Amino acid sequence: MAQLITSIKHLNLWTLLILSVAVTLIFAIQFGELKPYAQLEVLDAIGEGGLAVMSLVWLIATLLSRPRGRVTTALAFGLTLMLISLLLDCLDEFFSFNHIHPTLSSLEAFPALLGMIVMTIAMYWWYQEQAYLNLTLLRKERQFREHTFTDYVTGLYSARYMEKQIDIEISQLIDNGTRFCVAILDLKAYNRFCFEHGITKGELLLRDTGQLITLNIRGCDLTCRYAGDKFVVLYPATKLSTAIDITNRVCAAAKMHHQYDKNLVKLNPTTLHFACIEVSLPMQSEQIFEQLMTQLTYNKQAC
Amino acid sequence: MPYFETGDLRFNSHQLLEPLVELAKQRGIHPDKALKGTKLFYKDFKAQSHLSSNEELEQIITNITKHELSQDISFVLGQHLLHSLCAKYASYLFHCFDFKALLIACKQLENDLFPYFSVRMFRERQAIHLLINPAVSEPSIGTYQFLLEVWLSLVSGFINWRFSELKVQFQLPYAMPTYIEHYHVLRTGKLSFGHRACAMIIDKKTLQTPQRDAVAALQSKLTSLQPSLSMGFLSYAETFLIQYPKACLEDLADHFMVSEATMKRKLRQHNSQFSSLKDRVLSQQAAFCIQQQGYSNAQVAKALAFNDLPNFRRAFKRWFGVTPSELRNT
Repeated sequence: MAQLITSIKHLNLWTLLILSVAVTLIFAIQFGELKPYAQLEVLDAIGEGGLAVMSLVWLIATLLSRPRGRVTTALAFGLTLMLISLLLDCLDEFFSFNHIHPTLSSLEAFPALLGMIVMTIAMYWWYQEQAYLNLTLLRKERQFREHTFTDYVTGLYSARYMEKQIDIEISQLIDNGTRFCVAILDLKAYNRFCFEHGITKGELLLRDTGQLITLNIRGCDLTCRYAGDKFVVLYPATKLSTAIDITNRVCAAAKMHHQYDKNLVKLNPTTLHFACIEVSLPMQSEQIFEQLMTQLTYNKQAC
Repeated sequence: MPYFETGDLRFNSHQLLEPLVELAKQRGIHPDKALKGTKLFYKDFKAQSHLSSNEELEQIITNITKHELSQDISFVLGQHLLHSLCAKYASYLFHCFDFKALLIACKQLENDLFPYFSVRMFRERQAIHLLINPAVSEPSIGTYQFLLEVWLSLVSGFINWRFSELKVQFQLPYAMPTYIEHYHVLRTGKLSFGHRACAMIIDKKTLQTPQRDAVAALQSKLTSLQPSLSMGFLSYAETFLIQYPKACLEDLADHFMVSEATMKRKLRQHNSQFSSLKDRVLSQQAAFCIQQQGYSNAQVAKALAFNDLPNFRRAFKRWFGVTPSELRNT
């Protein structure tokens, strides 16, 4: 049980949340005077109670979704203060505190003010965090971000994202006549690797290969996972010979890469087949993929 | 029992269910979410001999396919299944001399290799049509598509591995999915979508294609394996209806050795009913007779044991929404 409790993410922040809500409720019940039913404003109570519940939902969502760190801590503190304020505002409809001090009810907005200040600082830190995260994604994305197109296994974007990028390149080809190249890379004997070492190890190999391709292309190029053991690389405004040179270098780098099993025994080096085409005429991305697949099959047979 | 039902604990969880949950987990889908509604827990899979049912599998597939990240799971699962089946049945499958011998071995091992589907065979002059139908219960469209993708990945993976030059045609009963690239990398033969039933079409000339590295002398006798004779509930009912196309619900209930009311209840449990099951059996045969064999209406009506032609035309229009001649012309 103790182990289970200590394994909870953001344990301190959850404790703070429960304690602050409990203390607020106990304070109101203990020191407040219950208002007569005639003075109760139901609509006001529902509206203020709703605000408190929604801020609690935001807080829970933050704690469940975000990793540990100062941004999360600041967000949680800010939201907890907001929650206390909104809770007091709601309890104010049921309890009267005038008998303690006539101005006590007016102080209920102050935790919210403090909370908003803390959250503003948290938002600034969040912005900084996002800027650093963007740097890590620089080589994986181009022009726009769309998380629904991400491939979870490799961490790269999927074929859908590449389709959108090709469409952008095609429109540039129509407007300016800028040609571009697309290459497809395929892991040799991936099925046998999975058969010998299992699907999990196979998926790790895919992840490594995706990283490896990304490392060995230029900053302006883009790698996406196509499907299975195949990756697609887009070379914008590039001649075919240059694209083939870069792809050859990727394949050479892949040959130097080794996988290790549980006992640190070296597994077969990664070998890639590839096909590369230059797009000089407007066409659909499906046609480009079809041409690439046909050429890849031909290249593999030639090997 | 000659058949098993959707709720029967019959399948080893480590073959398909556990890898399915594992793959979902690797894609960020929590096992508890994947197992929701099955009364199963992730830790249950630790037991070596854990058994699960078709019903549980279908529920897990429904849970997983709700997530956007699940698009490639079926294909990877098919690949995994290919490896585990090959490890188990290598001596029976790897040394079948040619494609025909392999098909015969697969037919005999049908209930062991992929018991979720049954295969119905139609022959024409140039090709063999293998119609793939759900064997246990009528799954939802999403679950059926998922299972078909697993099966397609399994079959095409084996063909590419052992018969690299062989091309087989596949017809699939759903619209072309957005993630079509996963189908492209399977490197099957011609692939088409939007058909009435799932079919694998094999050119008769390719039946003699030899299997790579096969040594006929090394093939283990299938008799030594004792393949499972117990087939899925729907498959058992369909086999009876194919044999007796004029059978009514009472006859089917007699065949299952249950009362008519129990039969109806069992069919409902398997998301099916007598009329839809019979319609499928007859309509598949009718479509094949008309489109592939060029039979006249009278010939088809006779093959399907209809007493009169107007009755047949009426039933045909109900199945396909068009008359036999309209279907012939499409």
